[in-house]
Amino acid sequence: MIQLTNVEKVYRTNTVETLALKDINISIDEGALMSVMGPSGSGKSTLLNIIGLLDAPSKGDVEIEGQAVMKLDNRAMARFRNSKIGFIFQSYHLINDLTVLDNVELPLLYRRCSASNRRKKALAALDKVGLNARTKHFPTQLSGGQCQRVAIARAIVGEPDIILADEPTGNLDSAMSDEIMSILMNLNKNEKTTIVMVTHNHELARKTEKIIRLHDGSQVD
Amino acid sequence: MLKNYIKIALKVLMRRKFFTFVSLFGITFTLLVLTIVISGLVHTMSPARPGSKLDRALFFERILLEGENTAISSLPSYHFLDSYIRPMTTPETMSFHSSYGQTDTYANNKKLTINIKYCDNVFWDILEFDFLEGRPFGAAEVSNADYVAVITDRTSEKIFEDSSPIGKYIETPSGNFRVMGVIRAEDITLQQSYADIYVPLTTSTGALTIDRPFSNYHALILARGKSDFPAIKEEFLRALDRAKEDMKGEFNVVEGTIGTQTDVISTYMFGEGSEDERAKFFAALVGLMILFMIFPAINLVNLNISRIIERSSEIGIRKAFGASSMTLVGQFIVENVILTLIGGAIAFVLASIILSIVTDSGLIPFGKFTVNLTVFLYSLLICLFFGLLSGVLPAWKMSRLHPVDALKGVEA
Repeated sequence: MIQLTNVEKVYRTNTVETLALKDINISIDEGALMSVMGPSGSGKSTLLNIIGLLDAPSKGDVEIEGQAVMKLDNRAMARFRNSKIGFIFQSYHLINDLTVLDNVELPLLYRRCSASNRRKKALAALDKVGLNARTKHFPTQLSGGQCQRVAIARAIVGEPDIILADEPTGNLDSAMSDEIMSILMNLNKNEKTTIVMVTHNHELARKTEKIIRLHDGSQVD
Repeated sequence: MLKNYIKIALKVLMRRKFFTFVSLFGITFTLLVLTIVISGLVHTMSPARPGSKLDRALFFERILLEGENTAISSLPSYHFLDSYIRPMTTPETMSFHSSYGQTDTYANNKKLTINIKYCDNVFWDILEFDFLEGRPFGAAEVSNADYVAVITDRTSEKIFEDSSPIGKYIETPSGNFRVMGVIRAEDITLQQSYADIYVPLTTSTGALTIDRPFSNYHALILARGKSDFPAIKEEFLRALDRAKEDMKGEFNVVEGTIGTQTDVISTYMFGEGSEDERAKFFAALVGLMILFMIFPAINLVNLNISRIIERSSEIGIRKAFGASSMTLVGQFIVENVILTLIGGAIAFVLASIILSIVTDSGLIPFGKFTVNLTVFLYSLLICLFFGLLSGVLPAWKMSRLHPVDALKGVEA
């Protein structure tokens, strides 16, 4: 499903060159639930950004569903992200000027989908995360846990094959973390969605099928 | 998608109230000034009624006389017009009339100062005023030097209040004039034809006897059609040559210009003898308009850049969920267009109010100002162009932002 071969990422400024990822080889099967662990600065988010086509590797190949995605032009990459990938961020990244419903509809704006269909799908996604009573609220009126559930609804509304979650429980207490984790696990189990999750939380990582550990940009095991 | 863009555009405009105010102020003020200035220009330069005789009228407004030690630039005298312009055969007809001067009159034991113009009967034929009451004075009244007058409704109101002025007398130091007609003041669209009271030029004691070539008279020359303009101009030059011949010794240069209303105004602005005055005039006008609009546009570019930078996180989110750079540029364009249209609507309402206040106040004596819809739409179009320009540049720059950097920008 997702294949990274000899991936390397170097960040360059005028004076400094930082090796963020070094010789990464990962294969993720369809329907997998996987976590990426490692200390801060070990390259976890960079790896997730490369899989999510938000960033390009300096070297190496990335294949998703058999397609060499780095060869796509910007527009094709945008379409690919829109149809195949859903993102969940630690700090939710909701648009505060839009209501919960409008935030969830966002990915559907960039594909052929009528307004009524968008609304129907967004309500269904909110139902899955148990937030269908808050559709007209704005993100600033919600708790952290509720915001993250809106973000999950947004990630799943387009029925992507892959969900990339960057520390999705990083800003939440343990009870709320468990709730978010169980939503993700249900998605993986019921919808067969491939989930790659960056986390610092060993307990959560243990619930996933596979853990990739990074240290100073290198794969540890 | 458009609905979503409009929704977010309005939200952003409401959220950034200061930015919205500054942007709207810039757009509104620019459109307002342009609309008012152009309304004034159109009013001054174009005939009141399209297709009226003024479309084929030429004006002789200025004569330049140079002698050994003298140089005079002035309006011609009645004597000069009568001697050299009246014999012209190419025009259909012509009217001579004085500039307005002030005279005193009395109403209800109060002294009033009003503007008086001496004119012939052809003046009324060419300008085709609708008479609210009575009629204009004709050839007979002019040749008999009858003390009759045509007044405006405003003058009538001032002197006679609500009663009909027809047949009543207006006292002036030079005689008592019997009112025989009333015209609407706001129908007087030409500065040259403005006055409060019009009387036969034969009642003027001094003007007709002045035999020097310069004084305060205007010639309004009516062509049979616009195609006759060149022939009339040629004959006009021959008339000046004749005058020069007659005045040899006193003046060795006798020059004058004849032209349409626009030509006359552009001659005042650019001087006499310019080859293509009309083109120059309009080029200058368009240049000024563009210059006037560039500054708010530059201001808007700066404002837009700072506004869009604040929204880099939103750009990152949209990119992550599948928005292409072009889609994002489209979104920011829609926002700018909405802002410009709101500004346009406010400017339209304000301009209408201001122009109606100016018209009602009578501050500009011959004025009836309205928002010229065509001009307004063109101004709006130019504003939209600058609005787009000021929005597209920063939007394009920001849309090319790397999604990871954009997401890091500001926490949403």
